[in-house]
Amino acid sequence: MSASPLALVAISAAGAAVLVMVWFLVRRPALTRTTKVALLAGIGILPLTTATTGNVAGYEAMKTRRFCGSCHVMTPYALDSADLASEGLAARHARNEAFGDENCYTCHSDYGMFGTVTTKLGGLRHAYEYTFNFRQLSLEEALPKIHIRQPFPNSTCIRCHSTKNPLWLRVGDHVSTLDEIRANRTSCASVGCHGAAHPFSHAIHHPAEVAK
Amino acid sequence: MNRRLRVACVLTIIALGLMVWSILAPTPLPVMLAMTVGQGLGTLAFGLFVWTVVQDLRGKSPPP
Repeated sequence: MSASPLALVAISAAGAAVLVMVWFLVRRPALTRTTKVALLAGIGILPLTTATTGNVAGYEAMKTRRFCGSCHVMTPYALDSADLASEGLAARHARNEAFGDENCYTCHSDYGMFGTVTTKLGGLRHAYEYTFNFRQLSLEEALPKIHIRQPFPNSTCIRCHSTKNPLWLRVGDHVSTLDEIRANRTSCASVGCHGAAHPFSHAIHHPAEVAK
Repeated sequence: MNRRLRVACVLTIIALGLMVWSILAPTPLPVMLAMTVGQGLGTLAFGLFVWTVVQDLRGKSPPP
């Protein structure tokens, strides 16, 4: 359960609205001005408060790793990124407080003016895919079929790793591939560079490569 | 007693139940239900309330 102040406001408003509803349904008062004002609060203002604060609380909850991992086919990805022993990119970033419990969203959300909107639309696509294509599958059946929809963009990495830091530029491989990294032609998360974000998934999709 | 208002009350209670469920158990199904069905029912209920009140103010109060 979310224990945020917004959630408490939402639940309190819902409780007050239900009291008004029950009062109206049980007592059946005449439609006087007082009744109309009470119903305006019970049907309009209080539910609107619940909806708006509940929406914000919902949006916050949707950013958490727990939410992403609640679909069974995503559970291994969530567990991998929460694994303190994992050396994958996702796990290493999840240990950073700036990513923390919201590491899935932080790395997989789009940026830019409409980034939140496009990310939410992508989330709806996930819900559709899960409901109609993956829900019935076992993990063994599902994992080989799960692919990232588009290559992971370097712009996500560059938000923090600016490619301009002198320490970063002291690395020879960074300097030699700088233009390719910035142009997204060479992925930061490629095997020759920083490795797969979720190594177990890479091993499933590229067994021959891992066997080498 | 206005039947439309009673329906609006029941719809509001259902909508609030879905919204609170999504807050108590923020997993994909409850959250999506709250943001679609829940808010749809809530809007419908409010529409019924406004319709009833406007009719009442115009002196066309529906039969009890």
